[in-house]
Amino acid sequence: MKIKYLHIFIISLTIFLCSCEAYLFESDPENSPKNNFEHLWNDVNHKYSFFDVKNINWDSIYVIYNSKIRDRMNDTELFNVMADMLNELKDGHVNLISPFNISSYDITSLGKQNINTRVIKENYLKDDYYTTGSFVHNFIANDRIGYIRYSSFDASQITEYELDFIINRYKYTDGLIIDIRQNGGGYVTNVFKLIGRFSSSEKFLYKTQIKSGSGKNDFSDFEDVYSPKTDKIKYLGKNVAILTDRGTYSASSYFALCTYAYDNIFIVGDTTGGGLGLPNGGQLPNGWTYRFSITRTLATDGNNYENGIPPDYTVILSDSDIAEGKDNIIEFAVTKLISGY
Amino acid sequence: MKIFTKLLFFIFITNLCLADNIEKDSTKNDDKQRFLGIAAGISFNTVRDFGTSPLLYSGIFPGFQLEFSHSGKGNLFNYKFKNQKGNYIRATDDRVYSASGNIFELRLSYFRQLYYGEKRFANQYLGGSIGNYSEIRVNSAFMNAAFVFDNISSLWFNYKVEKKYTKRARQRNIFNIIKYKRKERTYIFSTEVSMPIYSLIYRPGYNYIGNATVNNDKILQDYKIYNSFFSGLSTDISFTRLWKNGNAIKYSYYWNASLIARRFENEVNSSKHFFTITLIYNLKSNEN
Repeated sequence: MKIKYLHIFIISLTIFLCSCEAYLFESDPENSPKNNFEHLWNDVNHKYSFFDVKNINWDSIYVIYNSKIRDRMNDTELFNVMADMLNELKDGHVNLISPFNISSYDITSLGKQNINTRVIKENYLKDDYYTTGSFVHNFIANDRIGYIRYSSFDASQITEYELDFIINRYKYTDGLIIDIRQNGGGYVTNVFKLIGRFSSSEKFLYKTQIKSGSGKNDFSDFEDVYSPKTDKIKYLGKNVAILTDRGTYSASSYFALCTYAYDNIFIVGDTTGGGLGLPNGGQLPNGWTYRFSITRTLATDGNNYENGIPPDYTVILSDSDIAEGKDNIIEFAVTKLISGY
Repeated sequence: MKIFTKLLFFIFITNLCLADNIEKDSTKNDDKQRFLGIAAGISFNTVRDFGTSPLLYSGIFPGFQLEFSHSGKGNLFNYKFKNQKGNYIRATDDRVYSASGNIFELRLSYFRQLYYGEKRFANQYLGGSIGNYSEIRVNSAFMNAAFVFDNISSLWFNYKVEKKYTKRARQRNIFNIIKYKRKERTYIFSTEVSMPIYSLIYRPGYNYIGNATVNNDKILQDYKIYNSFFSGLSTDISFTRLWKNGNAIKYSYYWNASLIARRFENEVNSSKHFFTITLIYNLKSNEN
């Protein structure tokens, strides 16, 4: 055999094998309204973790929205149908993301916005407040109470230095208020850092599991979650009030949930928005992306509070008090803390 | 896929039969050789990860490769380390999605030369490899599921054909104007076909985000181990020009197609077309 024939043979063999790549791999799914709809419905059907808690019949949702899918519908129409379908889940962790719009379910609209930030700034934080990382804080009630406004778990990772500083500053107070109203969540790791400063012992906070298969009840085994052990300075022997409302969501709800494990911490305000499931991301055949919850969490009392964590004391913001420059939720918490809860 | 398995199995069996008839061959290459290769190149990669998207992403990945091989008495050992880094791109009608990718691959191969007598046309080798392949992909469009780490340890079956030939020196002239003497040149033309017989795959479980609400230090939450048989195919063609000092330059084209975690819900389709230029140093001759 001459060299050139060997070359031809080898190159032909390579071209043949490489061309088989298309044979080995599936082709991309057709980008049709029907295909996109089916992909989204199926992924939610297989992976969403709260059908039972929310009492949703996803099969009947399919029947309703499938009838609205037409071959010639434009992108806006398709987006609206699929967004409406996802909003049936009533879950703030569910979004459909296209280049022209992002769908979301506004969990805060379920209740009154239980906070007036201007009143807090003018009459509680005042002009000499401190900003430590994402925390804004000051003494209130004749310096007997420390008030800490924490508006987002997402702004940054809490540092141990920040917590040391804050706890040192308020170590001689009669109680502490942590205001997480309208805190939409963020890093769950911040929850553990913060909650770890309120007990000298490890505490069982909640148990959690993740979707592990396509069946409705295919979940991993529950894993118990405990507060972290830390040798850092702690706020012990005194009571702590957590202020919540419907805008308290996701990581903030986790924080509220964790306080159930603590006898000296109580919640004042409105039921939280929930959001106790981690959202997973995915993509449709047309490129749009989406996310929805695929974990679930049970509190120390065994209940699933995905629909919101009820407060120990329900207090709704009073318009008349606000008109007088008072936040009746903070006032209630101060009274409870000073009187010994 | 079955047709490729059958094809390779046929080649394997055929060569095993031939190997039984090994003759004592005075022409076998008993010279001990050691080579170090440093390669740079460009790769056209594609990936589709059904765990997050049904779409095929593709991208250009610059890469490098370190290679060490030594041979003697019909045995050939080859060790390769590859790294590629780049971005997978997927353009849809209205947007471009991008995922960064970082690939590390280590492969240790052994080949045994098959002898067919003095008149054999080319050297043939049968062998096996163990390899470890890791890839990190980050696609921020998938939010919490942005990060994926795949680690695959495989046992490979390899078949290699290698032909060494020399073009003799000769006088040439171009358009009867420019006359020059072409020096003698030696080349090696080589091709290799490989298939992973068994793969152990460590990658995300059913969902890709892991349960971050579990307060522990695990980085790769809810990752699982999968088994896979005959999960791909690869070819490696190279054309090497040997220099008189024993060193060489090699032009290679490597193709690989993999079906990772095949038959599981989160299957991954992956392919690579890696073109490299390698500078090969003959360590033995340099020592001399």
